[in-house]
Amino acid sequence: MAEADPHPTVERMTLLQRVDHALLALCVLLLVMSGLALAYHDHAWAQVLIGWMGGLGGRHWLHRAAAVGLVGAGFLHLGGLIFSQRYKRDLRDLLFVRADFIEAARGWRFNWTGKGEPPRFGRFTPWQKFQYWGILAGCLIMVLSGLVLWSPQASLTLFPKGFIDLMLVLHSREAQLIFIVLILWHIYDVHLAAGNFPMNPAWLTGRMRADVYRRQHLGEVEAREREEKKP
Amino acid sequence: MRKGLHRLARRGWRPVAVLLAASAAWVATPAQEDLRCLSCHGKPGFRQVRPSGEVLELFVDPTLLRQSVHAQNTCVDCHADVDEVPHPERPGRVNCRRCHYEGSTAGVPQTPKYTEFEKSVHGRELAGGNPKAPLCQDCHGDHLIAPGTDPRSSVNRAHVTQVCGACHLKVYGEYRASIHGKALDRGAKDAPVCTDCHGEHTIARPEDRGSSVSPANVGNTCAQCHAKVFIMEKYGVKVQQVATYRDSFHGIATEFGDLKAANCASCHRAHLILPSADPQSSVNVKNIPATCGKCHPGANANFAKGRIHLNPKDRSAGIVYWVALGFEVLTVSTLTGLFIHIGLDLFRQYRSRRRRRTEPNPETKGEANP
Repeated sequence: MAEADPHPTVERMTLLQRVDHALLALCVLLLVMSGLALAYHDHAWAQVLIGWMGGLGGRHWLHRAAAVGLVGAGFLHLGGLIFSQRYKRDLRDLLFVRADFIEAARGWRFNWTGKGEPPRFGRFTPWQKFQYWGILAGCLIMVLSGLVLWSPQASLTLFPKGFIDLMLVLHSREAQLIFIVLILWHIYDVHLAAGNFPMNPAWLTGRMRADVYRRQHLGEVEAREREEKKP
Repeated sequence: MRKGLHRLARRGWRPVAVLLAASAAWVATPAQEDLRCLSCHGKPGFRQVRPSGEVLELFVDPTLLRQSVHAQNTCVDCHADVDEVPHPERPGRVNCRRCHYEGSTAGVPQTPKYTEFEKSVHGRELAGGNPKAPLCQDCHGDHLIAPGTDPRSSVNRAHVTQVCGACHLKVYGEYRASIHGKALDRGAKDAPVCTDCHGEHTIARPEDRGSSVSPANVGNTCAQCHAKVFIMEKYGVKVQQVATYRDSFHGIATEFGDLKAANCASCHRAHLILPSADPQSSVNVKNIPATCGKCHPGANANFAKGRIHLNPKDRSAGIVYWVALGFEVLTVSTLTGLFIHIGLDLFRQYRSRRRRRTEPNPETKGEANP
C-alpha cells in the first residue's frame, strides 16, 4: 500500500510528456531570449545577448532553429494525442467543466476572505487548464505569424505589406504576453504554489509528493477514495 | 640703450613685438607695398589674352582685400613666388598652407580644420596629384575671404551650394530639384546645404566608415534635423520617421553594423529627395516596387500596400494600432490579475501555515507525528 512508503508519490507525467515538455521549454526559452533581444535591440542587455548569439546573423538562425524545435514539440504532442490513450485522457481532463468555475470561485473566496473551504480541484487545476490552452493558442499564433515573418521578402511578394506589419505586431505582442504568463504564473505555480517549494519535480521525475498532490487536487483525491471504498 | 632693451625684455616679448611692428609699418605699410602691383593690376580692364585664346581677367579691386580677413596682408604675402615687378612668368596658385597650419605664428586661426582637410577626400585627391582637386581658395574665394557668417563670403550658407556645384554639377542639379533645394530657394533657414550632410573640411567618401554620409552614419546625419520636433513641425514632416526606421529590421541591421541594409538614402535617394506625393519621387507609391527591388529582386506592388514608417503606437497605423492597443490592455490586465492572484495565494499560504503550527490540521494529521 502507498501508506507504507514514507514519502508516497503520485505519477503525473509520462516519459514522452516529459521529453515533450523539456523540448518545448528549451525552445521557448531560446525563442524568448533571441526574440526579446531583437524587440529591445536598443537596450544594453539585449546587445549583450545578441553578442552571445554571435551577432544579428547568429540570432536570426538561433530563433529559426528554436522555432523548428517548437514545431517539432507540437508534432510530438499531436502524435501523442493521436496514438496514446494517456494523452487522450489528459486532454479530456484538461477540458474546462462547470466545476472548474465553481471551484475557482471557491478558491478565490477562500483566498480573499479566509472563509469557506479550500477548493477541490480535479487532476488539473483551472489555472493549469488555462495555462495549457493559453500556451497552445499562443504557440499557434506565434508559429503562424512567425511563418509569415520567416522570410519577409518571400512573404512580401505574396501578401501586402500591411498584412506583414499586422503579423509582426501580433508576433511581438503575443510573445510578451506568453513571456509574462510563463514567467509569472507557470513558474510561480510549479515552484512556489502550495507545497511546491522549491520545485514540483514532476517535469523531471514524472512524479510529485502525494501530500502536496492532495492539497492541490483535493477533488480528484477524494473522488479516487470514494471509488476505492465502493465494493 | 642696452639697459633699456634689457628692461623691455624683462617685461616680456610684447613690447618688442609692438616696436618691430611699428618699425615695419614705417618702412612700408601694406598699401604702399601693394601699390607696385596695383600699378598694373589696379587698372580696370587689365587683361591678357593667352595664345590658346583664353582671356585672363587680371584686374584686382584693391578694396576687396582690404574688406577681407587678410586686410593687413600684402599681395606678395600670398603670391610669394612673385619676386620682381613686372613678373615675367604667370605666378603659381597660392598656397594658403604657408601660413595656415596648426602651430603657425602668423596669427592665423588655430583650428584642426587644416589637418582635417588633409584627411578629407579633397585633401587626399590633392596629395594624390589629382589636378581637379580643390585648393582652399576654390571654396573660400580669393581676395574677398570672409568668415562663413558674412553674407559676402563664398562659404556663407547662401552660396555653399553654388561653390560645391561649380565642380559637382550633376549632384547640384539633383539637389536644386529636391525638396531640400526648393526649401533653400524659398529661403527656409533650416534647409540643409551640402555641408550640413557632408561636413566641411571632413568631407569623406560614403565608402569611408567615418564619413557622415557612410551607410553606418547617414541615419544619424538625417536625424540631426529630422528627429527634432521644433524643426520638423515647421514643415509638416513627422519626426517619428527616425524612430520607426531605427526600430525596423533595416534600422536594427544597420545599428548592428550590416551596411548592406537600407538606410534613409537607399530609399529616399541622396540628393534628389522628393516628397512621396511627387510622381518623380523614389518613394512614390508607383515607384516603391522599383525602389525596394534595388535590394529585393522580384519586389512587386505588395511592397507598396501598407505604410512604410509604421508606428504601432500611432492611430494612423490603423488595424496594427488597435491590435497593439488590444494586446497592451490584455497584457496589463493579465499582469494585474496575476499579481493579485499570486499575492493572495502567498498570503493564504502564510496564514494556513501559521494556523497549522498552532492547531492540528485534520488534513495532515497522518504525518504530523512521524
